[in-house]
Amino acid sequence: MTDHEPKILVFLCNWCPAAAVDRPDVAAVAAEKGVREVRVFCSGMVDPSYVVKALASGADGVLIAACPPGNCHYMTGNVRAHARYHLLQKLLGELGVERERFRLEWVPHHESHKYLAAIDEMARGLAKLGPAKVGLGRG
Amino acid sequence: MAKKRIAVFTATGCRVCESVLLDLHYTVNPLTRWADIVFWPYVSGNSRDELEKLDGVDVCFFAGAVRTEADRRAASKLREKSEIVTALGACAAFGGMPGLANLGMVEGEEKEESSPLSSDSFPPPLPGREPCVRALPQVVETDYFIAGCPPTPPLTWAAVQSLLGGEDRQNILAFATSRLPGNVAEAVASGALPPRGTVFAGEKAVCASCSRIKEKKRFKELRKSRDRDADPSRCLLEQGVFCQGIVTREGCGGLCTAAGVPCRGCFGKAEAVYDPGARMVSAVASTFETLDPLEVEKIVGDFDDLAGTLYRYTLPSQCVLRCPPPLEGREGATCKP
Amino acid sequence: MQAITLDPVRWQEEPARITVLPQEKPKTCFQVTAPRNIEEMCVGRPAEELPRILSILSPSHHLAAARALDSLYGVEPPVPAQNMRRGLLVASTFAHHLKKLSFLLSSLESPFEGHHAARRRERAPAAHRMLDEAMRHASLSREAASILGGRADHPLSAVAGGVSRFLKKDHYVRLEEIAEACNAFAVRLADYFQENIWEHAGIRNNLLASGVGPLPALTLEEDGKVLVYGNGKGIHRFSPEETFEKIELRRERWSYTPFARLKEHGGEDFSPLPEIEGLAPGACFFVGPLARFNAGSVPCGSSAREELQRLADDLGPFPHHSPLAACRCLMVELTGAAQEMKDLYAEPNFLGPFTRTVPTERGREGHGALESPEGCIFHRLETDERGVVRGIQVLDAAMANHALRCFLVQKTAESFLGRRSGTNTLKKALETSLLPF
Repeated sequence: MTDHEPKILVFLCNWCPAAAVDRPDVAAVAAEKGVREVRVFCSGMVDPSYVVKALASGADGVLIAACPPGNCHYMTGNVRAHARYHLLQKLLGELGVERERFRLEWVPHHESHKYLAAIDEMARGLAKLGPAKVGLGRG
Repeated sequence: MAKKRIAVFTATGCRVCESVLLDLHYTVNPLTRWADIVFWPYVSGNSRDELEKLDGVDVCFFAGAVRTEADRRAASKLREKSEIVTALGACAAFGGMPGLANLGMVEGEEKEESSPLSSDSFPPPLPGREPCVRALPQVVETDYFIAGCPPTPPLTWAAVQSLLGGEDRQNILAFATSRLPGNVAEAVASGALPPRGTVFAGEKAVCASCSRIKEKKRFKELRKSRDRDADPSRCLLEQGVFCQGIVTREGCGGLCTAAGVPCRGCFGKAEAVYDPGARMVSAVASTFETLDPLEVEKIVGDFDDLAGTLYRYTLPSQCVLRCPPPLEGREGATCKP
Repeated sequence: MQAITLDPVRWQEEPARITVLPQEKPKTCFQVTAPRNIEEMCVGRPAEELPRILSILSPSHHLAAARALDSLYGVEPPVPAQNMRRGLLVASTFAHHLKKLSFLLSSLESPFEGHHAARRRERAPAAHRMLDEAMRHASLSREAASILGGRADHPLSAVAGGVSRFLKKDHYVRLEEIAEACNAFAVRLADYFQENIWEHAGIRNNLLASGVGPLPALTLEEDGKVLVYGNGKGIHRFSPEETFEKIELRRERWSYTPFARLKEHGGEDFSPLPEIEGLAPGACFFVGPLARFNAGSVPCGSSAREELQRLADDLGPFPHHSPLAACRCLMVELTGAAQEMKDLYAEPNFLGPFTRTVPTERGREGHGALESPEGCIFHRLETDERGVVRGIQVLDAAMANHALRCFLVQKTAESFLGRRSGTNTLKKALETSLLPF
């Protein structure tokens, strides 16, 4: 068990998840857990390269917070994100990146607790893992 | 005009890249028209210790990945002695297939070591293996890159002409300029060297030169050996064959796809790509025909060895997550080009 | 006295180093100075990728890997595909042998010296022209290899169960042209060497300075069985699937390439071979064109058989163990390969309804063996239930001939140091003796 304080990068969809998160109490808790946010207009906008870059640049974990299936403002963006998530998770695993470091969460607009639970679980898992062993220059 | 002095050397790799140069010498135009070959161990029999006494080399063609400490020393010495260092072939440019050895190394795990012999023992000790495989630019500043495994004769010849020059440059340069991207061609045509860091290849993806017809971008399911052959006239990726042309730099003319096999990326990533593996994941996953999550999971389950396939030739220098620790003096060069 | 070092050894495909301690009884060693890491490249890869991965070793390894896949899937390629694969092997053989013979020629004339300079020094300008022609024909045969293999040096086209595509109409025409040209040239080259090279004192001295009699030869017979032949008889015969049970690959600390040794060597006495620490001569063998002829191989076509007769007229009946015999065998096989190109490169041989036998099931183990230009090579692979490679063993010519090269270096050094020749002469002799192996 390390004392490592993980840095989590969250790609936050601007529709449902943002609505769930844009409350002062939620934002504060998230920040405490080491979350940095990047707002996107759709989880489908998140290119796997962003995830790779985040992990390579010092993020201990990356979370994509997406609208639940059927609720995407752009119809299929979130399911595309889901497909990319699965394939990327497989590649990351082969490169030595632990499963806990990358996560996709469906966050309905009225269920902030789901978001917080995901962050919490992720932070605890990452604290146990310690810093990433792979990344730019770490081999 | 004085002849350029050139050196040709392979670190850890096959001899095919050197043979491409030798072949050009005999079948196109003798290199000796423009150059004196001052160091070419494979063909002329020069030995490693001659590197120390070597006077200025104008252009060095360096092939092979940097695997052993002897490779690293040779790379440093050749860099010191050469005005221009050109990475010849995928091993030197990106790490090549020897780079796959790095996949087995997580957490600085050391492989079994050789040469525990003392320095005055006989046989003399072997050059030790470095902890990881590196591409040439990760060891020394590299000026130009000729990609490919092996590099194709037309692009290699274009590079040779633009780097070696010669009195009758103008006539011969027209060929070089026809093969290269605009800004590089302009530099070459005006008699200047192309910008340092140029890869002698195109900028777009292989799809631009592939002869197959591309219709609908849809990935249904992974095609397996027990399926009948893909249609030779249509895009392989659309038929479920994992082809990396979409993220790979063009220049080969679509050799592999024309021969009925998918591209495996030996020219390295295309100009606009950040990480070829991530980009390929995006290209394939974004075009899955099904949107049903369970079916998506099933298709993903069919893929094997994504890492070894997507980074077949480029793991050391283009896989962002697995770049080796930078060497002293090369801190800026974790992932290039 | 100072140690004499050749690093790297000229003309050798892998980075290698020779060290000679010139004392009363000289101490020598031949070391391969960089690892190949075949396992690290292949384990974890889907089995279907192996032909392309191993093509970086040589076109023959591409084909052997494809054979291993055929065996893994329990399929036999259709005849047109077999012919295309054979066509690639024959073209590669021609190119490979011609390259070696060209290197031999270039030991007389620096390949980078201009024609003018050569004429000025009144050296044989013909050697220079011959070298040019040889390299151009090597390039032609590589063009044939690229037609058949998709790419000449790292081929693509051999896949599980066959080849990846049919050829095109203009390919057939071109292949016939190439076969015609290579055939004519092979005969010209053989005549040229007969008149100017085999008897050339400089070359002959180097090539006869040593020999590795009587190492037994390992070859693949017509019926597909592996034969180890020495002392005038067959010593071992086994099927290729048993290769890695009969032969062990053992790495010594001082070379990155392992040595291939027969586990049971039946007590044959090969004592004229020098003592080298770690190597019991009785367990060693060698492969390649010379090994094939020592074991009784018969070349294809009358020109090749004529060339074989010239060899016998010069050096006597087989078996032979000198580098000179080995170089002459390259010429015999070159002529034979050219003839086979002529016989094989005809449209009907490459046409058929299918390029591939589609597999329906997959085993967990595959074997491939073939006689490559460098010598007999063996592949064995093991996969998991998904068809991902979990284990691979490759016995290539470098490993099989590692012992031979060590012995050759020892014998050459003993012979030349005994004559009190200079360092450069010794270096030349060492390079040249190793060239054909």
